[in-house]
Amino acid sequence: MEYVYDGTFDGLLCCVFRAFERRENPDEVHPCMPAQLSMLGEPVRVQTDATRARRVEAGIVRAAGVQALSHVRDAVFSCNPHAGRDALRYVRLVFRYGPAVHDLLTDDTLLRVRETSQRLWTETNRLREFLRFRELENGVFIAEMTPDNDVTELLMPHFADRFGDMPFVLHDRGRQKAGVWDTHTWVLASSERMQLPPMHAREARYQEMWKTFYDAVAIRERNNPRLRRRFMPQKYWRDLPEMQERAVFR
Amino acid sequence: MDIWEKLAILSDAAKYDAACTSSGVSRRGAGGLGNAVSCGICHSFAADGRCIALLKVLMSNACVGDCRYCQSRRSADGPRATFAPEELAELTISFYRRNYIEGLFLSSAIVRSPDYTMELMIDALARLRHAHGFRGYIHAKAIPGASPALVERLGLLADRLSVNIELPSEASLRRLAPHKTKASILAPMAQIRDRAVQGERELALYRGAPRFAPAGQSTQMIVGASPETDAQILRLTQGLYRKYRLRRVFYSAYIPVGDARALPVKAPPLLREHRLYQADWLLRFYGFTAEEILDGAEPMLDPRLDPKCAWALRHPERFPVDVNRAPLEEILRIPGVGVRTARRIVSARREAPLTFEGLKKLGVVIRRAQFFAACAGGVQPGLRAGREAVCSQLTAACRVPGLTGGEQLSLFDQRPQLLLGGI
Ligand code: SF4
Repeated sequence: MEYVYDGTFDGLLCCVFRAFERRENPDEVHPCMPAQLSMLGEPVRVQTDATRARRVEAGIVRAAGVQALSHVRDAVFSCNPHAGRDALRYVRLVFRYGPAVHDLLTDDTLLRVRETSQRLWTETNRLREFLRFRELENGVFIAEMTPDNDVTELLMPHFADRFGDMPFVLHDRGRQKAGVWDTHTWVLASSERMQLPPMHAREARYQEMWKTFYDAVAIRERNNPRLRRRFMPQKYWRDLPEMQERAVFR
Repeated sequence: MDIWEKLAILSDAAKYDAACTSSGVSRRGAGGLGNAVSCGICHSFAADGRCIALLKVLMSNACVGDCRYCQSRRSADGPRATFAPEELAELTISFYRRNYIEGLFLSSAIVRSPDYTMELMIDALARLRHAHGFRGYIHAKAIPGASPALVERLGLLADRLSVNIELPSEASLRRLAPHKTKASILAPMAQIRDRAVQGERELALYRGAPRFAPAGQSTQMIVGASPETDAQILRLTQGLYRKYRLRRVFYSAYIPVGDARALPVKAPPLLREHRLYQADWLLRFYGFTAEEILDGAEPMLDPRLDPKCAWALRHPERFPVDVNRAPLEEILRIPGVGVRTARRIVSARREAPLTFEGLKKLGVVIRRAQFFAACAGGVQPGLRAGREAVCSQLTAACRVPGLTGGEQLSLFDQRPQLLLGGI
């Protein structure tokens, strides 16, 4: 049997609620209707209910603290197709072992949940490093990305705090999803019909100056492209000005 | 001269400074521009694999000094430039808004005099902090010989201060940096240390006390331009950590850009630099002393082995360590077990006795640890294999993954948890 929820944290918590209430053990828990149905037939749609979600949430925190809750929450943003199922199994462990769950470091479910969290946060942190903003004509800045996990929501607090006085848009091309900061609050929106104004006149010059700096700080005698690729994986390069051609003008 | 040209000259002149980290201070944004994250953020990696976290530039490279190892020295050829303070502040802001950098690393050659140079730097930083309201990271270099009042002002603007010790001994300093003395370098270091202690006391009394270099101070020395041994360098490092409360000591493999008549011209000793960084980690996080790492008989670190493996091989009587019983300090001494892994071992063994299988899941590098650890499944037969056999297997196992070895090796101190996690 499989569950489907609405892709929200509350939705996932309601899956936990149902699994405990009915003593079910779903083979998969999907954040949206899967494109291909498995042999197991139509998945069960689990309704989201905030009251139930709060009860489950409080139960998890009481049993094993906020760290346990954040492992569950990470499943919502993960691109791992089994993340939801693992999260449910993990909650069983949480209720069975209490705080000692964090020491079950050789348990396979726990290891999988930790790995899911770790991959999610590794990508989030990488994007904190490698996102690049461009200034648009109207003074808004935009950063574009193509992440594996659904990290927009996780990145917004960091950048909103950092660029308090600077309106910006964070755009996940693949999911057509945008995080928008207007210097007071941030919201998530669909970017399907987003139309960008042209770049600011000075944008190209700053990008070129950045490339100049980037080239100048490298020490030729220490050249090591493999090490660079390891720290800065190639999939981010398309959005890094320093990894593009140098313009000839100056 | 246009700012673009200045940037090219003054970043090229700053590139030999090793430190580029933005760690050690955490500061939330305040609705304006900038915050700081205590673990630091790297924004890019240069073609040499080094992290780029900060806009690393000199205020000026028009030096009155004449240090033999330095490309900004008075007697060297090449273009000279000096930033106008406002120019530099604006450039920093523009890069910061694009998420290119965490902030600024400002150093300088000595223009006219140490005091004049420091005033220029302070002017630029004050504009950044006050006129632009910048709350990002600033690392500034104090110029030896500048007046204490200026060091004080610099420290109130910057998150981290550093004074470069430059060379590992006074004799070398005298030979290669004629206008610098040990005393002129150590004086600001001591001032910064004492001021930080005072600052902490004030902060305990009232929360609004101005913060003086909250990310502490660091220093750097050039390795390979002068004849000091690794043992001397490590003892000096240990002394600096203990006496001056430094956060970091950086090493930079000498690259021949200086006065070739006074200095060796050969490939930069990158492998040596790498081993020194590993030894430095042992000093700071693994409870080793300099005397343990190199115990008199050997003046240099073994290039074939990481220093932790080398120590373990010299001390077979300390092994195998029983991972199910030994205290944390002893577990930290097992090659292949990093700091985080050691802590995990100590908490995981409370639940169930650990086997080699379990150790692997905790992140232990079994290829190395197998010779030195004992666990529920007994000892691996490795250690009885004799020193030479173990040594050659370890040489293979301790090679940094992804690097080819030899002088090609270029591992800086960045992302250490990734690279040195299991030394
Ligand atoms: S004082 Fe010496 S090390 Fe510093 S910039 Fe001048 S010549 Fe170079």
